[in-house]
Amino acid sequence: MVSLVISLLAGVTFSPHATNFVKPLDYTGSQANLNSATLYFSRLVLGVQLVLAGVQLPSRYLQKEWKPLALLLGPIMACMWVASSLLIYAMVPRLPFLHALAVGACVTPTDPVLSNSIVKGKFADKNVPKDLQKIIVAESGANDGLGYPYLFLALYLIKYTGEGGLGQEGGVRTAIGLWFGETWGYTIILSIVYGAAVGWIAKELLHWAEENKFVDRESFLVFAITLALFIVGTCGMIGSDDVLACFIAGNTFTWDDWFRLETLDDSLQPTIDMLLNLSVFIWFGAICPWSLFAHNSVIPIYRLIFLGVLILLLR
Amino acid sequence: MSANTVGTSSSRGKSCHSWATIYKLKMPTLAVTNFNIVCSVLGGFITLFGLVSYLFKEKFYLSEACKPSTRLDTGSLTNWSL
Repeated sequence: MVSLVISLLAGVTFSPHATNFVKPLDYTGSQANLNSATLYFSRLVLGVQLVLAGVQLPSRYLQKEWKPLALLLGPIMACMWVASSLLIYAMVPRLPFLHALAVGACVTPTDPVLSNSIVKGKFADKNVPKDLQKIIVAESGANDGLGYPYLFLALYLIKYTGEGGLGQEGGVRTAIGLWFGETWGYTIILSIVYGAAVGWIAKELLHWAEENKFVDRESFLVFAITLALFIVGTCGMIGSDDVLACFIAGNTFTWDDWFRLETLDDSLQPTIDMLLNLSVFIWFGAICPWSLFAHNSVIPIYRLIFLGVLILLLR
Repeated sequence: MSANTVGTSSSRGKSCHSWATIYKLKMPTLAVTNFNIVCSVLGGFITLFGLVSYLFKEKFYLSEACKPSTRLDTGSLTNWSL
């Protein structure tokens, strides 16, 4: 946690805001390229993180613990969504409620990168019970992908009913239809099926290759990470939810606990984890348009700080 | 007058377009971007090559450094890092 804040500050220090060592806008050329580079970078980091989170969970975890997980991901997440949206609606002047719902959906999922830091390390081992650690990992892994339905419900409603629905045919009915068909059917279900299929095939292949002694140590250790790379690429290509697919794939990959126990004492995965974390937070620090916090047309800074504190408290 | 009408209609068309591009809410389409291609190719290749890496390195003697100790066997797994 502390290391991430420090790397964020380091990013600000090296960025054009201060010392101008790291110049993201120069590297990418335009703001649009910079935005897509950030998106790709975040997807890559999240994908690897979530495969590793899925690998860390014990055997058949999603099957055994589906009840508390469903409670956390269904009603509790919906409550968090509504609560944050109401707060945003209340605090931001002149914002339509549907837009507040969309913004609320973006802050609802807990971040697996940050939540990892409270369930790992000495402090966590002493103070957080093992079962709680596991359920936090599982919840934060799954809810990143499951934030999609909330976001897209709001976006579809804005598009088809909002005052900005310029020339769009249909009303609430079209919006809800599209929401079920595309968001649930195409994005969520497809990515779960795809992730499970890829994870399972990878597990079978690795078993087969290991039995025939075709795999060397390095490739064995790096297998989960390259699997993440593959899923981020292919799942992004079919336009589905790559983050959720990565988590599900990581979990099915160690369905029989084999890979997790084999790599338990190895430090390669936490190392890669840390490398990606630090670099992505330095990047965020460097690209974040910090001056917009103070001067923008949406919300004054004192209200924004108050809103942040309220969201943290009420969640 | 007619030019004016054309101007307004085209600007309306433009704003409609920008709305649709901001919210990418169209039918699911293939996003064959460079990043996705590179990720799939690299990930797929390293994964598949990893499955037969020992075969290539040790059996076919294609590796310049022959390191029998890096062979995956269950006995050396736990104290590999030592």
